[in-house]
Amino acid sequence: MMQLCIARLMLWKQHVLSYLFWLWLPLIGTLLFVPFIQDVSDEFLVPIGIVLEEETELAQQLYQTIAQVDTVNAEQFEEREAIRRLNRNQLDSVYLIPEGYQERIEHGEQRHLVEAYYTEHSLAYPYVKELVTSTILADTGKVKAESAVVGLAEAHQQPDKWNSDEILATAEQFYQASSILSTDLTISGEDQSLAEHDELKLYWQVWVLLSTLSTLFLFDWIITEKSQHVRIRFQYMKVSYRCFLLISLMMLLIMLLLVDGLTLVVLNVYRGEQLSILTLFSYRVMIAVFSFLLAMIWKNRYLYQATAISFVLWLTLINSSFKIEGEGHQLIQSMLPLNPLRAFLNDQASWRGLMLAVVGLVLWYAKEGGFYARNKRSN
Amino acid sequence: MLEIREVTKKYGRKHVLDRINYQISRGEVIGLIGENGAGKSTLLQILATLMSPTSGQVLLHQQPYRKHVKQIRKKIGYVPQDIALWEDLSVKDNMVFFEKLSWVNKTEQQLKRICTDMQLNQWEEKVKNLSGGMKRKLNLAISLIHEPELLLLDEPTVGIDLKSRVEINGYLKGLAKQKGTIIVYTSHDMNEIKELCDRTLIIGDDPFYHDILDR
Repeated sequence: MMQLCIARLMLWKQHVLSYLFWLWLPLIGTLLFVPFIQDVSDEFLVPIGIVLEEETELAQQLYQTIAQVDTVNAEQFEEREAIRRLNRNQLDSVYLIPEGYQERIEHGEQRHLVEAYYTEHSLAYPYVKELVTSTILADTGKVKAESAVVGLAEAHQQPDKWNSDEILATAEQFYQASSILSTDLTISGEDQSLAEHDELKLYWQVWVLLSTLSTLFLFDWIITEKSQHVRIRFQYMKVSYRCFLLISLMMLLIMLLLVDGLTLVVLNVYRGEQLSILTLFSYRVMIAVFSFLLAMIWKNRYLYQATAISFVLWLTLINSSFKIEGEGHQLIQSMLPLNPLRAFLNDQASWRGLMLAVVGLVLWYAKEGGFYARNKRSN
Repeated sequence: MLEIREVTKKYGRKHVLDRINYQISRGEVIGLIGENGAGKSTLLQILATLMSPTSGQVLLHQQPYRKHVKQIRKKIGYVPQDIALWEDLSVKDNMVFFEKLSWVNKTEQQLKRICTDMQLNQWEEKVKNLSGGMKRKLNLAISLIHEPELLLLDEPTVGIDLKSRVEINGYLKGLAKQKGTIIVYTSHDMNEIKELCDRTLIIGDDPFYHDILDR
């Protein structure tokens, strides 16, 4: 076995830089790319919906404040229409200002003032949520501060005692309030609290796309190798080419799992991005075997690479919050059940994908075995 | 001894090989000739265990192929017509690679010796930088790592210069004499066949080949 591993490493050694690049691309790319998109996300207008169930001054004020922010495109809708658009991915998220909003603020309530609707594709949701939250905090804080000042002034019969700085300082205390925004509905996926949704796994979302691409590219040596005449020599070696390929797959899988383990540690420890080991393991085995089998089918390396890129673009499309309308949207919706990353992004083991991959591998092994058996029947 | 007994190969109704009988002793070099499509490559592939005959059998040292394919393959060295090498690896790495996968263990010195014996001295050079003749030599050298008792060569000198051809043929003659290796060799070059081979097996019934051998 050791001899076979050494032989395989001799072949990989020729392209060591390329392999190192693709092995480390997902982790390094994620660490560089996510902060970048977090920085530039402010450059894009995020479509959000506002449902005003009351026409009070504070409710209107909140709507206007949000509408004036550069980073979002806030529109007012009826609740049903807003949810319909959210379902069609035309809105990133919806914020409902319920009846009694102003009254509750005036009564000093700070929790569950606004309801939020979002989908699992609301990639920009945390940022929009923070924006809405801070806006509400500012407004409620002002109202509370103002009411506190008025109350104090009246109590002490000294209406001119506090200046504006003191009023703002008082208001600041109210800004520290928490849990102002509550979530009542998720369109798809499990109901989550806002705290859970904060861990949107943006890092893992980016990582899994980069990792899928890099895994596909890591296996393209198979196409070059299997087309070479050298394959015939394996008939006279102690292992068949089929067995040699299987050992190579295992070796590459072990290397990928080691890098994945390090990725898990880095993203968990340094970025606080949780993911179960089982989720990561099942994804890795599934995508590695899938890449291996895909490379076994393809005969042209460039076509394979084009397929790999197209596949990852498709995954990006169906797993992102891009807003596509009309037939395109319906097409994407119809493809969602085929999404191989769905389990991973929900932090669940991809058992179905794993099973398919293993069955595919067994079929391939049996088919290649048939090829060798036919040759062995020689004479 | 290699024995070919009543070997027939049919593709559909077409007889490519029809009841071939032949015996080759240790240390003999046999030239396999015939017109294109006569069945030379088919017979060579049958001898190489890469194809099964429709009927008849082949035995190597009394062992029938059918029952002992694995053991037979350990004794066969097959030199394909195509260059079956890792182009990105050096001569040394190619030899070491196939030694790792072969049935025998050889030192680097022993591997290098095989190459130098056939005047292949560019040990550290990458295959893609070698001349056609050197590639052919390496193609042959790899097939000799496990010291085969039967060496099958499918036009091993096609498209190479005269010097390399002479060196390869000289090496093969020595191999047959010194180690008793049975060598079956296909070529379209009649001069080469006459010079190298002890006997010739003509495949097909084209009288041209009989005539030219008699001259």
